[in-house]
Amino acid sequence: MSAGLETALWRFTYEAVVRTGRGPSLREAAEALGASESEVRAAYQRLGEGHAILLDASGEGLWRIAPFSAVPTDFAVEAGGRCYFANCAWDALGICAALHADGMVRASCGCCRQPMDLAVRGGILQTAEGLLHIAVPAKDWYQDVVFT
Amino acid sequence: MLLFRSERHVARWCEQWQRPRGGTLDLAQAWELARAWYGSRLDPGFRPFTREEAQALFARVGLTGPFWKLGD
Repeated sequence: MSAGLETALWRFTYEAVVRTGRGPSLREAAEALGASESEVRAAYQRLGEGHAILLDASGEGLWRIAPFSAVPTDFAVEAGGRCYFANCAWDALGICAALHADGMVRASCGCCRQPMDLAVRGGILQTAEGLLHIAVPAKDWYQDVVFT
Repeated sequence: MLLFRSERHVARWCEQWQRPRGGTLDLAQAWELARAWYGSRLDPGFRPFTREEAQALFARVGLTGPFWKLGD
């Protein structure tokens, strides 16, 4: 039962975020899947062990549906006629990759905040100037996810 | 994982936030990794990568060495 719910919840959550640009609420997911909110919360917590889908600190809402952010961030991505958000620069590019769509990442330099737009067209990143920095070694990524 | 204009801006950020310099990717590497990591994420048959598969993806885009070694 729980594995079936997790699979259905995974699919529903990704379909919802692609369609709407935001993460579904626990209530929306519960209604769509014919489950209770507590069952959905528990299923999200189990899915969170893989880090792709993570609840926020309150446990009442989604924070990350990798590569999408479930909440607004400083990494906006215009793709497929919709605006999405990502939790980091890698995920922002990942949204264009996941959608297989042209897109524009609206971000800024992490140091000086000067705007840095990254354009993807025809499967090719058009921007060459800039770099990504990862502060935390790969083995520790999910112990300090904010600074990662 | 933040975006920076240049190495100089990375150094300033690390100094301000008192963080040791971590790993960097140029944008070509970042895009290649994003495509490899997330390109199949919305496919109906998607399954998460194993640690070995993920490590191989890093190596494919030139991310090797202790910093990029995933945990057990």
